[in-house]
Amino acid sequence: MWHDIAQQGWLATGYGEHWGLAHGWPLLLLPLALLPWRWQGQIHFPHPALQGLPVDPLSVWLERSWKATLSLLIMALSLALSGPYLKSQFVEKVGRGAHVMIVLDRSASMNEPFVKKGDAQARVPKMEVARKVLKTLVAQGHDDLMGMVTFSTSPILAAPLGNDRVFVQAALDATEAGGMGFTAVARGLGMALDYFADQPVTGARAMVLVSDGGAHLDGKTQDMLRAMFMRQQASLYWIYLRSESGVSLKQSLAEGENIDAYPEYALHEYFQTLNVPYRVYEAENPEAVMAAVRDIARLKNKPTRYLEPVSRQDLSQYAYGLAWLAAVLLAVMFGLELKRWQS
Amino acid sequence: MWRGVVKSWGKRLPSGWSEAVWSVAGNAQATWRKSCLIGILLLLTLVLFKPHWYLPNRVYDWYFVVDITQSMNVPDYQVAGKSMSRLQMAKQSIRKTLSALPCGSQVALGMFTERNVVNVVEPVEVCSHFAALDQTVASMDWRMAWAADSFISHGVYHALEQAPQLGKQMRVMFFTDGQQAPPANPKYMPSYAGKPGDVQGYLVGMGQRTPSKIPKLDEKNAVAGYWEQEEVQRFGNFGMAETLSVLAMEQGQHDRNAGHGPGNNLLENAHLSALDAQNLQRLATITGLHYVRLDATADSSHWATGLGMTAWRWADTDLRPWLGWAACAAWLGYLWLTFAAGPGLVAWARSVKRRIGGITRPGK
Repeated sequence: MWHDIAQQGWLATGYGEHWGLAHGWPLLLLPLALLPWRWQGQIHFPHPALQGLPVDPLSVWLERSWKATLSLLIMALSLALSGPYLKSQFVEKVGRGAHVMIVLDRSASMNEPFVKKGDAQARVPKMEVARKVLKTLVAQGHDDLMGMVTFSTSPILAAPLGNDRVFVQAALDATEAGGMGFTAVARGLGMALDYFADQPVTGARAMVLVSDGGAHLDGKTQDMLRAMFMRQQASLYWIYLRSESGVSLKQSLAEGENIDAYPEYALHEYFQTLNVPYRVYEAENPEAVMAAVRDIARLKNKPTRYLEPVSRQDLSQYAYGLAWLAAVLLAVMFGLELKRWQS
Repeated sequence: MWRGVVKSWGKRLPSGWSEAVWSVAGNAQATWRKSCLIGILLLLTLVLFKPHWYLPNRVYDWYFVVDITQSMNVPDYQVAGKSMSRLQMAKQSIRKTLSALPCGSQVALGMFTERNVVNVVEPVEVCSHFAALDQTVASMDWRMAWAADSFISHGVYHALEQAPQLGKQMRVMFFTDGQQAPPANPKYMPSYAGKPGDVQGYLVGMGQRTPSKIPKLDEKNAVAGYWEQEEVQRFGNFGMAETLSVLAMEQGQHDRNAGHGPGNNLLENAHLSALDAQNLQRLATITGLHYVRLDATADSSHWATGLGMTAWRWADTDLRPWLGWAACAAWLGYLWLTFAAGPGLVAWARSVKRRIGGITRPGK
């Protein structure tokens, strides 16, 4: 029964759940706090008649507080050394600049180069070009919040929307593994748009779709995606990595050609009906994409506050502060001490 | 007035000490006592400025891989009266571990389904990227799976292949229930290319030992039903026929045209899922990983910061504990020098000695 009660009490303190100690063993220093009370005696003055003097109450209290300060010092130190911290804390941050979600295609076709012929330098895989371009985009515009979704058959959130650029870079590096599967543009866009859903619209929101081809969207998906774009008021930037055999979106289709034979063209047509700002950048060569990067860097936003989780909030500084106070007190008392007996 | 009071404070503490001892030892002792106090004050004042420096530090590099196949949706964990799916439990335990790792540690994330592991994020430092790591782990979802198969041995080997590329001292923590789906032909299983123990880490077994039904979730994560035995049987594909002998065929055996399912006894329970400890244990022996089972109370952060998982690296190190320990030593010195000359301490030491002597030498 006592065990249960102890366990309940332990749980009620929230140890492990809300706070914790980095190391437990420095608490072994705590018993040292008893030493000043166990040990007897002070500095002695070789004077024969001291015992005859009456007891001075103020001195007695001064001595007690001196001992208490000594105890406090070592207790505060042992607590500080054990490193107490609060768990799952949030810090408030202010974000300016646009909210940019990158939606990156990592399907199998992205492993192919822009042109099939030519030397090795000309035959860089599209994935590598896309990564290079996105790295420039991520490196610029330090106020923007950025996130990334990669997709092939299904979308994967690679980096949440935030101001952690290094993380987005690390996620971009991880795409190096190469693409696979099919191109599910709608699901990728849907997931990225979902990311804006819980936040108030405070300014420019941009979706940067980087893909090398179209995908057929059925009517239902089209309507759903359109509604999502409208609701989240996000503008769309499509960096279209056109391969040699791919169709250019700038020219309109010749008379009598079936649009269904050109999925990227169909996608382009559909994006134009979204009723949100939409721009397409055709990247036949790696340089052409810089225009897109510049355009996106120009987007602005109102300052927004948001909460960001931090791993733990260190509390040991308070304990160190307390120890410092105790040390100052000790120093003051040292100054009050009688160093030499004068009679 | 204060002077008078303080004088009397000193007065109250008489001494039977001889004049000679005090005058000889006194000066040096008083100086040392004073410097101890000054030391404490100096050290603690320094601590207030939060000093830190690049020093070799004990850190941990982890590659967390989560199995996101559908069997991980089985809610067979009970936490505080609520049932939790294996996936949720794995995510929670990674997030706990993230906040327990010391700064300077590197963390990479990966997800497993089908036959391979997708590396979502390359290693990043855990403290400065905590928010992003935490949110990325939280967003891991079965809907991110690009295929529905679950070939666990392929996955584990793939993760172990990736780990050395991510970092020299990268350890792998693989959260899975060990479920193989569909049942695989042992003849087509890959063999581990590395040596056991090349990559350190843990194979974390999720789920209970008693099988439960695997829920089918819809796009909104609501339970739409459960996998039935008949549905599962359809996916059993066991590869080529084993008998290719003409003689056998002439005698009426038509393996080439027969279905090559894994057989009924393997498919009987394929729609149920339990922790396949045996399989994971086997994989652990082959690869040199440690197999551990994650129950509702287990804490993966202890495993992650356990012995043998350490990586020493130059990292930004908090210097306050060093100064704190020095201050502790100075405190003891100050205390000792204050009381050393006193008869009380001598008497105390004597009584302790006597007591110890009494214990060790009861005969005398």
